[in-house]
Order: sequence, then structure tokens, then C-alpha cells
Amino acid sequence: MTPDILILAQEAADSSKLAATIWSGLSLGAIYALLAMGFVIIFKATHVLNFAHGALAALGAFFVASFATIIDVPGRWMPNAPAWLTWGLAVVLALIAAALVGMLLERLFLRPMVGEELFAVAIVTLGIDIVVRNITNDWIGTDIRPLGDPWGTNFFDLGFVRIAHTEIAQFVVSIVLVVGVALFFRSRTGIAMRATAFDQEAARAQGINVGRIFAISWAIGAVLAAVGGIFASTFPRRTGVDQATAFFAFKAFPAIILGGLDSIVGAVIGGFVIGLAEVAAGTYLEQFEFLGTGFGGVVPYIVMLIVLLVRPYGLFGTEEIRRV
Amino acid sequence: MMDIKTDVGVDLEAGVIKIGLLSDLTGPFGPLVSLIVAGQEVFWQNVNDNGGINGLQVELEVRDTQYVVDNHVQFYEELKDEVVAFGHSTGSPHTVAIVPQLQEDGILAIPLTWYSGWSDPDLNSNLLPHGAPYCIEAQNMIEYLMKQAQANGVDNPKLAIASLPGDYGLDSAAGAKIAAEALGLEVVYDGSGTIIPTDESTFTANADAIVASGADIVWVTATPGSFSSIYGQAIAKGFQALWGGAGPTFNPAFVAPDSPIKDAIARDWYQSGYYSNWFDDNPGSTEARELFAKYRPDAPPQDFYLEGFIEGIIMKAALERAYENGDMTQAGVLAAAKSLEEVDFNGMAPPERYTGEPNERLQRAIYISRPDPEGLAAGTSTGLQLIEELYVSETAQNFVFEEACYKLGG
Repeated sequence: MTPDILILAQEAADSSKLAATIWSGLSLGAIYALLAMGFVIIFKATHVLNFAHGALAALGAFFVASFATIIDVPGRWMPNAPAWLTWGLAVVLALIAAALVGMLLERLFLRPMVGEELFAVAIVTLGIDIVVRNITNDWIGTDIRPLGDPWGTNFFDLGFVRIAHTEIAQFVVSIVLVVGVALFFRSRTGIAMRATAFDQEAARAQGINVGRIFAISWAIGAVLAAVGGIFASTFPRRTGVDQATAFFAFKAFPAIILGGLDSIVGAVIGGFVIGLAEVAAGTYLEQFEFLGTGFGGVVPYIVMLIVLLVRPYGLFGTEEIRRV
Repeated sequence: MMDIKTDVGVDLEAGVIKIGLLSDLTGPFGPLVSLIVAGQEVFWQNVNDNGGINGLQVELEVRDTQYVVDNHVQFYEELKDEVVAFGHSTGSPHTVAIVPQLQEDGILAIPLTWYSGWSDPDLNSNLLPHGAPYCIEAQNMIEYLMKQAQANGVDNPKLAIASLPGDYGLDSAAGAKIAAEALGLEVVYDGSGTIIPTDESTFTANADAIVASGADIVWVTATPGSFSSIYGQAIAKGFQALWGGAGPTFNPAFVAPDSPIKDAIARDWYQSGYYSNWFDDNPGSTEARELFAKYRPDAPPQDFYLEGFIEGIIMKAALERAYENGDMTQAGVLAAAKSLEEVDFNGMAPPERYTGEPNERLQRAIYISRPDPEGLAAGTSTGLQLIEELYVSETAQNFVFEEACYKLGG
């Protein structure tokens, strides 16, 4: 034991390794935060625990691969346009498609379940997960599908840390989306969503179109899932979307539970905490053989359990939330 | 027609031979195994169109095991009363699970895995393995990569190893360590069994450890997705080395025009294979392409079809020998298969023999390719360009098989 702990102490003192670990953890955490935010928005507005979130993330990433590289739309009609522009437009189209899928799923499978037990609705989303994941995997096929992003493998050095351009894009987009979601909840529709989350009947009595709110929340949730899926599928984390992408999003669940099921702030903080914990554990606990292989993957769940023991509704969750 | 003995799976009056396939069509290896099944279907379609096995038409009974051992055993039980032999059995633990039954029932199966344990006499009696096992493949490749590193001016290259758990990853990692010891290479990182495909943190940890080790050669045996994440994170930190891994680690999408890593992987990766590539010039691959053009003109080019042809060629040889012997019972086909002194694949794969001692039977030859982004973009390759045919390293040549490099379940 002692030698291992000494090694750990030496490694922790290695500032370049520490900086790389923190950066790597934040980078992973940003993806978890995006995925967690989408989940929380759907839960806040509709009280649905969406277990199909991972499948929606993979589907969204596959839409980007489809538009940007497989069918090359709109790039095929813009031969002289810069790559970032055609790719950006392909992403916009993919996000519109993801939003439409989210709304369609809500209308077909979740709307008829309004008023049913939380547990029953969650099981429906498990069914949706299986269907969407299998269809997406069938479309993805045997290969990894590159997303064709314009950043490639480019990176730059910042002090101790080497940062990929995709990671910069990921942070910028994450910040924009967090701010965007915060502003959305101050908008008229956002306030209507909060009212619906608080009491559907009362919201309806006030003239709020609850069905529309449900549809919007699923659209936003699916878009956030897709953005998370995109960054989970780009360099250096992956080289494209593949059949394992849907499972990646499951790792965001500890972040969601940790932050509190109905808290956007909690989702973001939970995402970063879990990302940092996972990477740090994977990097620094490797030499403790008794912990076994892949202990870093268990740490997020341990962190989640410890927090739940102290705060059963998560760090920022409200106490009315019922858990399944 | 001469007097032929039959029991299960051969109906002389109807003129039919039934072969079972225990395939993972919808599980983790579904996308690949589906292509292998397609290869077998085209192979047998052609055999049937050309008179079958002495006039008998071969029919495939395919069952989707979903890569679940229980399903595998259940479908074996169902098919053993319908088929004369099993044209493939997907998965090592799955095949190990049916070996006692195969032995009791006297039925033949072709394992669709490259586990070194198939040479073990306890397991081998009813199996027809083919291709170099993961362990031998790794021995070949480590020696080959060492020579490449030395040619690049690194006299004593350092080796890093990372793999999945289970027979695939650990058999391969064990082979790499055998080669390292034989060649006197220093293993600066040993991450055998530490890559968990569903656990992102194990990719980051492996990438960090590989970078920190300063290895000149990296041997990774993983799924394409987990490998690409480890590789991507390592090169993002500016790490450069010679990289290789067991055949299924690579995916042609790595060198697709839109792949962010296509240039880096073309620079770093050496690909090993148990058989040749779809677009190679050998007569076997050429015939396979012609048959696909005839029977499945819309099928996209894929190397995995060849594995279906290889399995088909082995089974055809066994059935023809059984017919010659006048015994097409399940036991007769097994005995005929085990008397095959050479099965030739027309250059598509190294010839196999199924007689003699384990060390005589053990396949040691592999194919080595380099990534080929230009060929893939031009449609003239599946993303790989062959550079070495039937390569056998000294380490692999001198390897004496006594037991599986990695003991499954122990």
C-alpha cells in the first residue's frame, strides 16, 4: 500500500499531469453537462425520466454524419463554400431533424401517457430507447461514421496542456447553450414551461398550451442530446459515431442524479464534477491493483451515492421530486 | 449413386445437406457476422448452382445467438437434430460452452474466433479452427513492428500493451508479452485487460499511460471505437509511435475521407489479418469478388465476406471427403474433416491442415497491410493495402504450443 500511496503523491505533484487531468475532466464534463441538461429539461417540463436520451444523442450525431458526409447536404450545392460553413449548415439541419424526432416521439408515445405513473412512463422511454437505438445502429452499420467536422486533429499548447480545437469548440458551444437555456427560462415560453412543470392543471387553466410545452421540451432535450452526441463522437474522444455512442450517454446519469433531477444548474455542475472525478480516478488510481480494472468508471456512481446519502434529492434538486 | 450412410442433416432422396450456423446477427458482432454469413450464402449458392456436393444441395440453417451463451447452447440443442455439422460457431466462451455436447454428439463445428485454445487437444477434437490465433498474430506483429522501429533508427524499441479483457484481448496481449520476452523488448506499459468498451474512463487512462510510457511500439487489442478513442487522445497529446493491434481493432472508417485521424493512422498503423483483403490479387479473393458481382451486385465491398468463403471451403472439403468415404453421418463428416491434410484457399488465406500434433496444425501465418486512404477514396481498396503475405516471424515459428496463451475461464 505505502509505495502505491507514495507514487500517487508523486503523481499528484506532477503539475503537467495534473493540468492535463483537469483539462481532460472538464472536457468530458462539458459533454456530460450537455447531456444532463437535455435530460433535466424534459424532466422539468413533463416529469418524464427519459431513458432514451442516449439513443437520441447517438441519433443526433448520426444525423450530422448523414448530412455532412454521407449525403453531403447542403455541401453538394455549395462547392465553393468554406468547410466550416457547409458543416455548420449540416449541423443545423441535423439539429432540426433531431428536434422533429424528439417532438414526434413525445406526440406518439408520451402524450397518451400523461397522468400515468412516473414508473410506467419511464418504462415507455426504455422501450423508445431500444427502438431508436436499434434503428440508429442499423443505419450506422458496421463502420464508425465520421462527422466531417472542420477541426480535424488540430491542437495547440497552453502551458502544460495540449488542447484540441474540437475541445475549444465544445466549451464555447456548451457555454452558449447553458446561457441560452438560462435565458429561455426567462422567456414567455420558458416561464410557461416552469408553470407547467409546477402544476399542469393550473397551467392549463391559465391558458397555457401544455401539449405545446411538452413538444418544445422534447425538441430542446433532443437538440441538447444531439449536441452532446456530436462532441462525444469527435476527435480526440472518438473519430465518429458508432454503435457504442448510445451507451456513452448513460454515463451522464450520475451527473443528473448528483445535480438533482430538476435543476439545470445542478446538471451543469454535476456534469463537470462527474467528468473530473472519472478522469482523475482513471489517471491516479490505476496503480491500486486491488481496485481492479476500470475503477474510474465506477467512481461517478460512488460520488453519486455519497451525495445522495447526504442530500437525497441531489445537490440542487427540489424535494418534491419523486425518484424511481 | 454409391451407397452412402446418413443420419441427421443429409437427405439423399430430397438431395439436401443441412449445415447449421450459430451466428451473432444482432449482438455486438452482428454487423460483422452478418457479412460473414452473406459470404457463406454466396459461396454455397455458387456450389449449389454448380452441382452441389455430388448432386446434393447445401442449405444453411442460420440462428441468431445475439452473442449470448445461453442462446448459443439452446440453438445448438435445436439444430443438432437437424444439421450434419456447424458451419460456424461465433464466440469463444460460446463455443467452449458447446464443446462437451459436440464431443458427446460427435458433431463438427468451425469456430468463428481466433482463440489459441482451439489447439488444445481437450477442445480441438470436434473443431476446425482456421487462421493464426490472436496470440500468434501478436507474436508476428511485435517482431515485425520491432524491425520497423529498428529500421527507423530505434535500436531498442519500448513496448506498450493495452487490451480488452476476455479471450480476444488477453490472448493477444499474452502473445505480445511472449514476443517481448523472446525479443528482449522492454514492456514499459502493460494494460492487458484494462480497456472496457463501455467505460470512457478506461480509454483516457490507457491513453495517458501509453503517452507517459514513452513507448516506441503500441499494441492495442480492442474494439474499433475504444481503440480510436485511445489513439485519438494519445496523438492529441503529441504522442507518436508505431501502432498495431489484433485484426478486428481496425475499421476502414479510420481512413475514410472525412475521418479526422486518416493521415495520422496512415502514418502510424500496421494492420494484421487472418486472411487477405477483398481487393487483393490472389485467385481466391478474385473469385469471391466475381461471385458477389454475380449474386449480390449491390453489396458494398467488405473484407469480412472472405471469412464466409473460408468457412465454406473448409466445410465443402469435409463434406466431399465424407461423401468419398461413403459416410455422411454427423460422425462421418467429423471423421472426414479430421483427416484433411490440407485445405487450400486459393491464396485467400494460408492453407490449413487438420491432422497431426497441435504444433503441426497450428496456423502461424498472417497477412500485414497498411492503411490506404487513397485506395478507399478511389474505391480500389477497402482501406487497406497488403504489404506482407503469409508472414511468419521467428518468434511465432519457434513458439511451441503447450496450452492456450490465455486460459479461458481460468
